[in-house]
Amino acid sequence: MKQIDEQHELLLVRYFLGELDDMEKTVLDRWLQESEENRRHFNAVKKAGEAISDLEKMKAINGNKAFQKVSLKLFGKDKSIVITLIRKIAAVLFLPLLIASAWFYLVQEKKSEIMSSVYQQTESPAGMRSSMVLPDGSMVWLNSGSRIRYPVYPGSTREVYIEGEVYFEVAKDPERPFIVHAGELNIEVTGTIFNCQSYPEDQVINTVLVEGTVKISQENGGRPILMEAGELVGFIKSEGKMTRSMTDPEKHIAWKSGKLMFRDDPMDVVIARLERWYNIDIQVVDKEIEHYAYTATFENETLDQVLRFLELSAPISYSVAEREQNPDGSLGKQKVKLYSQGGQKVRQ
Amino acid sequence: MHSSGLIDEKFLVIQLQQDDRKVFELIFKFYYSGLVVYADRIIRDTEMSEDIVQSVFMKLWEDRKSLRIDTLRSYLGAAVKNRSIDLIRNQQVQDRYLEYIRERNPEHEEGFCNFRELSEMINQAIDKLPPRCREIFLMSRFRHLKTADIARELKISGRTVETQISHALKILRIELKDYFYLIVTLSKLFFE
Repeated sequence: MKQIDEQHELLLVRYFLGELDDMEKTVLDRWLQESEENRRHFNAVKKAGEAISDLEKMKAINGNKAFQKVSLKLFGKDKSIVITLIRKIAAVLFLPLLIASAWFYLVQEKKSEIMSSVYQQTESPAGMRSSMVLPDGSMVWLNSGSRIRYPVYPGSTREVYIEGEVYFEVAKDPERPFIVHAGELNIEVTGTIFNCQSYPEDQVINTVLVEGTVKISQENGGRPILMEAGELVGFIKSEGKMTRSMTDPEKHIAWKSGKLMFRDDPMDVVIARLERWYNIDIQVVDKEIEHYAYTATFENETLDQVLRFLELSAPISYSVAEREQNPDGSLGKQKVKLYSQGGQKVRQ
Repeated sequence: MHSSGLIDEKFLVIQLQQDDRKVFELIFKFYYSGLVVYADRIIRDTEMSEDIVQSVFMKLWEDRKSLRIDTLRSYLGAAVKNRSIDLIRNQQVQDRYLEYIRERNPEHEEGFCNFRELSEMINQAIDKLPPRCREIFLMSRFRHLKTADIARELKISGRTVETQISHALKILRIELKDYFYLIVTLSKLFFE
């Protein structure tokens, strides 16, 4: 297809956003009259816009309520049938009641299994980031090497399972809490924005609340913590303990806009982030580096640019090793070594 | 992005024929919102569209034993479409509409997307956008912020916001071209 000039491209954008004024509408109409080609471009834009508004319409439709209505018409009051049944049995003997309810419970269990087993998993491979809209309308961003498992049906529970780092903008629904299972933690919300970092290999699960309220509890009990906006809760896996502190949420969520942000962060934190971001291994040769704190923001920089910046702004130097070949022929991870600039002089 | 997890419709139909209400609920919730939007495209009335889809599902349950269904999708799609068209009172509009969809795509007359398929398609498209572009696009189309508000929040110019959205749009209109709704809006039929 032929390129469209910038002026008309912007008109299409403003049409797409619903921000055209009368004057612009006239210009766009005239342009559409000019050629079939132009109309094709316009229709493609229109289709993209309609796909998105259809998705939004679907989100707004309450399948739960509709189903209740339909099942009431078809089955009457579902539960009362079972209750009368149980009552009849109870009238005969108490013991059969126990058996009946146990049976009823088991059957219900099995059926809800079908429903809840329809889960979908999405993952963002190492070195990549992705985002998506969940069936309930919540938005999530997956950082490098992260995955999320979520129920396919917008009508069922809102329980998701994550590994790695995920940023959530949870759609409001006070009736159905949204529960994130991260390692041993359960994070419960109704509508809120937060970031959870829970890589299996990490010692700590970090949760940062940007907006709203969040309740964190451990799977094996203990008192839940009610988080406030701007707070960071770290769960230390080995001790089973939670720590609370205030933080700048921006630095924890910058990754979702493709930014790497450090604010007075210790070097080990910086290194762990860089390793995941670029899918590399970093080896610290001179241990004193680990005491440095680091402040910087990177946006769309290559690994090389970041390392060079690191070298310029801190007494650090680096070397990049050739990538080794794995036995299966694939290339291994890139390996980077960090030296203290003082330390290297001693070696020379 | 990798995705997995499909539903075996044959299994669902068999379960349905064995009176499994849970499976009925599952099918209902899986297709409901997509079908409502599908009907809404034809009759332009969301409330009535919901009624249509609900009655189609009630029919599905009542007739479950005698149904010979290949796929739930085409059964549900055809049923919703036919009931919607029946509701168009103006015969002339109805004829033009039928002619229109016959011309467009005679083989897939019952085409509609359910929520999961559509959200997957859109997610995959959005995934192809560069991070900055994606953020701005999501703010605009999913958080419904005006260009000026986005510009203020991100401390950039309105023109930059529009340029980023134009990048996004160039990618999205290629990625979403397969979104297979076939329904023309009635206003178009009236005024053409």
